[in-house]
Amino acid sequence: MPTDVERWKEDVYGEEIREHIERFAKAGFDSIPDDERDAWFERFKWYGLYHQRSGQESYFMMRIGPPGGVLKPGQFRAVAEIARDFATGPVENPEFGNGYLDVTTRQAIQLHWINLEDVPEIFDRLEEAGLSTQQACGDSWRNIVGCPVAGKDEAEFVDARGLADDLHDRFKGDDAHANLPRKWKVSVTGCHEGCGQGDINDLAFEPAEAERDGETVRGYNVRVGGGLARNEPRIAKDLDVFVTPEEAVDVAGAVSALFRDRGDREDRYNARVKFLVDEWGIEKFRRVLVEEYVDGDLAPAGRDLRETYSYNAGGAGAGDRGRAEPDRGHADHVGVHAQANGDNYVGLNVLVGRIGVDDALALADAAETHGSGEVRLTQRQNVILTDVPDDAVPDLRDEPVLDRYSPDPHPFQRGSIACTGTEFCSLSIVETKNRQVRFARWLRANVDLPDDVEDFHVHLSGCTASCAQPQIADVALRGMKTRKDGEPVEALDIGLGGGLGEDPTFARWVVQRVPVDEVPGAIASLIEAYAERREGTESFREFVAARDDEALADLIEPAETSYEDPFMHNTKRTWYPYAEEDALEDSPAPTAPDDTPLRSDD
Amino acid sequence: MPGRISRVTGHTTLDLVEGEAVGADWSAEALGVLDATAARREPDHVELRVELDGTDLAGVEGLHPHADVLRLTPEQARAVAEDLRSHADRVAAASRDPTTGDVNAD
Ligand code: HEM
Ligand code: SF4
Repeated sequence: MPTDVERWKEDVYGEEIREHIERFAKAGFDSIPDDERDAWFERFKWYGLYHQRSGQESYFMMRIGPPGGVLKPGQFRAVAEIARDFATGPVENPEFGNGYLDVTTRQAIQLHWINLEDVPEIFDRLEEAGLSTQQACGDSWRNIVGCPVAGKDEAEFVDARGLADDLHDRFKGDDAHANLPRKWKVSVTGCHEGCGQGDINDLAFEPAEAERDGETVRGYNVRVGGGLARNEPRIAKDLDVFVTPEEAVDVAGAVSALFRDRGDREDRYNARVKFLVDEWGIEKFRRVLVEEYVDGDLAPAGRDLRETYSYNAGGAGAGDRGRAEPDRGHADHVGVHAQANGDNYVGLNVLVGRIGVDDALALADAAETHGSGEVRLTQRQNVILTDVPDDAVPDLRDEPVLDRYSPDPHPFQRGSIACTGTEFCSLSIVETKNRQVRFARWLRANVDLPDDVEDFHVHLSGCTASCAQPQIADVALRGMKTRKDGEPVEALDIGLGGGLGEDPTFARWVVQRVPVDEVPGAIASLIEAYAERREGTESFREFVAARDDEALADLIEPAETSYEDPFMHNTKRTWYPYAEEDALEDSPAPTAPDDTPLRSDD
Repeated sequence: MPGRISRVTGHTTLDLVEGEAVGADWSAEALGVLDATAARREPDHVELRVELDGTDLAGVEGLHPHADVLRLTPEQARAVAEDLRSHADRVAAASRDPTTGDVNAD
């Protein structure tokens, strides 16, 4: 007997789901028969619609995934207007108001509180803008991630944009690759910084060069089997394959087909390709790929650029190799950077990825006034405005909206990432986004980093699924529960010293269940110890690498401070953590699009 | 590294439980996680999983972070459930306030 999910997929899957969405939208949420809801909600994911968690019935999260995070002129505004018109809920968020969009670690945008009744109009408006939600979720090709400044960056090695678009065009909506054993995450990198984060993806294309017919050609090395989920993180393994940009699409198809045929469909927890790579070893994976899935042979890996990788590398990455400017490669895209054509791209810091609709519209205005109108999304939940001429940079900097979305943020704000958390995610154990904003604010006001430390990454995930990529942060925080003064309270496990770069390392989890209100104090004690004891300009990641777990745990002193946490009370059990009356039975859901309850009698 | 072995999410049965690891001549108090589950596809057993926090057990020599996983037949799982229920009733009754009849919850 196949799993429920496999069975539902056999009944209706792929593009035909759309007509059912339209049908239910017309007849209203309540027209979905109770006993079919789970099946329909699973299928809706193929169209980028996730039913929100219990207590929030009838509301959906919608994911829009532009390949490589590139939103063409006008597209960001279109999404911001949709968020303004439709992404509002029954209760506002105390930090972000009512109506906001989330930039995600996979360079997508997520909207919340979407009513099914509004979906057809939203789809129409997205299509008009040239955007789509299709296949952003489910067991298929996820949004292809990659260098968000591909085609713009002056030090780019290969133009990853072309490949990301080709992969997107070729495989999104392709029936032969639409029904995989599990999600399929693909990354394309073309730069010296490694900002595509290929090492944590199922399939990664990484810049490289090799000899072909006596000439040096640029293209990609291929890696397979990375990923952070399931509390079993893996770094992608080198498949020892070099492809030219032209060959890359076919090879991607071959790897995807191998996964489709050989991945584990019996056990969803064992389905990701990293477990197939575990089981087979990378040599066998390559052998089967060559023997059964490609015509002819594959070239061995070429020379890569990994030693210059600096993105999310904990300051332990690049020197000035391969860079046009003699600085070290950047760890994120924040700040003003030169483009190859003489203009600039301006990376703006978005705290925990969330932008209120008024701010989003102001950012769209700024992009149009001072740049080309393009807004690009990064894997650090930030946005980039491109094509800003030198003489427009000062005017852009003067825009009031840049006070909050700064090209020059404080390291604690720049370094903050948080996943969705109990606000909307049923898997979460703790509140995340508002807490991380408060953490960053407190750390900025109360903790001094050494002057030379510009990057300090703190990533908070609500559970072990690791959507906020905690394992590759300087300080990794993950939701748990503990008891304090006799009461169960939200708590965090703390891990240290993760990062990508040439030799990625995952954070080591050194203390468990620190009550959330003591976490800022814990981080403060740690940074104090680092500042006092580091050798010269030792990065935090190096500082951690030089110590064993016990020594590190000794440096962490959880303590109450002036930080106050309003969400300690088991927010998992609320219908919405920030509602005045937050108990599950106080939820108005399911509701009509105007947020009034559908069933007043129960 | 005392990292968690088990996945812990909102679906985990208990993300906070008090317990103790006990050996022949030692014991160590620990917080832990308990989960009862079965595979989504073709479930052929009930999994009962317990993991005591690695950091709490770090002082016990030779004890590495681990989870204990029991595979129960449906009959065994029901037997456990029945025993749990009847003992829960006894414990709840014993802690009931004799004057009000309310359970002294803490
Ligand atoms: C209701 C369920 C889920 C929701 C709402 C959700 C949401 C998200 C979001 C929002 C992101 C982007 C992170 C961000 O920037 O905010 C993400 C990425 C991710 N998700 Fe989930 N997720 C869910 C379930 C899962 C599950 C079940 C797993 C693992 C089995 C998982 C693993 C990941 C990982 C590892 C990433 C990020 C790392 C990467 O880029 O590869 N998620 N998810
Ligand atoms: S890490 Fe867990 S809590 Fe956070 S969004 Fe992912 S599944 Fe939800």
